[in-house]
Amino acid sequence: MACNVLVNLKNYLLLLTEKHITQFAIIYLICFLANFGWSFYNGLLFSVLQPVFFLNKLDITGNIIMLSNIQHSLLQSQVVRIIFDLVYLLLPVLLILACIQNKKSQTFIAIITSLFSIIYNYYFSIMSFVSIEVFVGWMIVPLVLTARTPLKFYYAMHSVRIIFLIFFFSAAIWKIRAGGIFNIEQMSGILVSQHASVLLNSENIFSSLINYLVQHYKIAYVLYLISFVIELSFLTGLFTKKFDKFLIVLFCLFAFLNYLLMEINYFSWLPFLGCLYFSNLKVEEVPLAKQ
Amino acid sequence: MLLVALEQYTNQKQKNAATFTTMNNLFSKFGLRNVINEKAISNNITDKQFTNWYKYLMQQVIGYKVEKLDILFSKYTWSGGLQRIGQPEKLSFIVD
Repeated sequence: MACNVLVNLKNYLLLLTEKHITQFAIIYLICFLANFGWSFYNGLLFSVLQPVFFLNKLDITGNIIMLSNIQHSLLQSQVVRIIFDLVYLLLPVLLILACIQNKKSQTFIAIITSLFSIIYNYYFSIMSFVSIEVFVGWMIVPLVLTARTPLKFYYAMHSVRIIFLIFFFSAAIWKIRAGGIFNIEQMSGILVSQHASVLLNSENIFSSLINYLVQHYKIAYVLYLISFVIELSFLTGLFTKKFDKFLIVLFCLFAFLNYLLMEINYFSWLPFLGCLYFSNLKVEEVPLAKQ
Repeated sequence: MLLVALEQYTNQKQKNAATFTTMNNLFSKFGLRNVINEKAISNNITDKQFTNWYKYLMQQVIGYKVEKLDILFSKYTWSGGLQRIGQPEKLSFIVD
């Protein structure tokens, strides 16, 4: 009897519910607000940066977005820049409010948030020269919150989880395809090109570290190899969910090392971790007719 | 950001024109020739405007007002440390 109760309790705890959708939404909002604050502090918002030119890219979606001609309004008008920043800040807040109250508008707001994030971040990327890859989290994660029921949330979350895993392990595949993994001086060369100004102008702990790694290319290569193994290990996620918590730790290590060594901020990918955190939860089986 | 902005400004005219040509060729394959307007994906900026913005950007980074700005450009190579090649040249598009 007691054993049955324990099994039922365990099954109940492993069940995906509306509570988890709200928890996911709150994780997303906390990450977003922290990142927005960090961007504001570092002058990485339209209204603070006040860009005056852009560099177009060979990007079909981007060039379709540019047919709207918003880019020139962003370059010329501070009012437009402030509106862009405000909408970018407010949409996730609205989305989470709709999510907590389980309003019908949640799906619509989630889609709008995702679309606006694509437009905002594409423009920001071509005007600030920050690589668009680091903004991907804000474009895709809101789509998980289009779901208002546990069943739909389950499918949306797992779809985004798979996209995230593919991003990661494809980076490892690229290191093989481009040959970086077979070149022992690869990391040392990357560090020189990424930190040329640091190597030239400053004498502090960071520049000493970079200088040391450039000189000792074998040690730098070990770091490159570690990042390759971390990226490749995300392949396991396509076959099993067992190691998802371990992948969360690996991602945090990857993001921290990237920020420390390359000064690339991958913390905007943190909301993706919600998909790994909740991946072991199951949905209640729903009869086909009821679906 | 300070270094990248200079590099991107130097390249923007040529790169935007090249991107326009490629995109226009691609769109025309779908019967959408001239959908992209070259003016829309080109910058309308003078060197003076860029210099003023660059001074603003620099002020944000270093935290104090920049009165006068000159930028010297040098090429370097790595040989046990960064070694300069040739003499520094003043960037002509910085007009202050």
